[in-house]
Amino acid sequence: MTFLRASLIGALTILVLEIALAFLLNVVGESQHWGNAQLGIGPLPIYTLSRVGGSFAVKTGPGVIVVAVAVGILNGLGARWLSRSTPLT
Amino acid sequence: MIDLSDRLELPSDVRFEGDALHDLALGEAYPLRGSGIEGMALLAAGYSIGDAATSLAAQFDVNPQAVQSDLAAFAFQLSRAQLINLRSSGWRAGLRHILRVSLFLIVAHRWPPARSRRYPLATGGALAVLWQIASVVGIQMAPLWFLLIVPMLLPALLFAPALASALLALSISLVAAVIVHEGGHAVAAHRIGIGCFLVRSGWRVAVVHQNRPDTRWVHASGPLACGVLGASGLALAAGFQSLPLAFAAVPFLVQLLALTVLAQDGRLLAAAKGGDQ
Repeated sequence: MTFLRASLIGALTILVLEIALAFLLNVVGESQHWGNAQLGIGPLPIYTLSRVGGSFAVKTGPGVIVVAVAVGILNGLGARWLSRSTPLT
Repeated sequence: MIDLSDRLELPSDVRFEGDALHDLALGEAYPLRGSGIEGMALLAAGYSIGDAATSLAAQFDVNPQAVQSDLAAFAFQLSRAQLINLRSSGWRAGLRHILRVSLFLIVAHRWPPARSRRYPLATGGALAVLWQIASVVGIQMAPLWFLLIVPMLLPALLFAPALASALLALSISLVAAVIVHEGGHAVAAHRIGIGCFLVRSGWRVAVVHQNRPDTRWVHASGPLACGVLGASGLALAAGFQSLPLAFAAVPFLVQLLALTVLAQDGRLLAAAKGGDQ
């Protein structure tokens, strides 16, 4: 139960933060006149930054889900390890 | 570190009545025995640790140095248990403190452990609680924030002067996020009817509350309040294309990481049983 709850909380937290980062990149990219770029892990895109005409756009890729799930699992494992090694409450 | 000239202050939510210390916020009583009651009575009456030890040594006809040592250890334990605040007075105590900190830095290459101080949080409305926390985090800790923010802000301004307003917004929201985080915990604790108080130790500030099975939302409320405010700020920043507002939202959003096991809130949240189980 601890693992599942912590995994879910971790994944949702990172997902919200990744979406927030997309908004932040959009505001900064627009004001600083950034060009096209792609942020990702190897071939897996997380954010695709593009400037079409005068407007700047940030699109999230499948990497967002992969990172959220990976961090969620790590959070769950961390919580389970901590609950076994030290009393959490 | 205890100084014999230190005096003891009882926070308004701690009472010394009869032969026990009563923590009104947490609803706990700590009975004292024997000379502990006499020592506590003298310290609560405003005696310094040294003066109280001298008085006790004369009363019980024992070695004053042994009593000083015992009383200093007793005051240290009470301070660690966050039942009292220790107050230094006089320029000599200030000088000794500076010498101790200097020696600690030279020998141990790190700052000495800071004294913790307890601040009672009234059971008023959310705004009253937020104001009390803001007065500690925003005003009393202002020199520490200044020391943290200025060395970061000045080089950033030299390299990116166009970002001055955004960096200023980031600095202010760094402090505001801590206030909202701790305020979220305190308001949630009051909502479910449990007492709490604020503890500050150097850079660290935390709301301490009763531990009950249904405190899951109390653990989550601080990061969640920050997350909601940060997300709202970022949405507004995207709407208005405002860089300062976007930067100001960042410290609030970062507080969401406290929901993971990286932070105490996240660890307690993962372990909380919940009132419905």
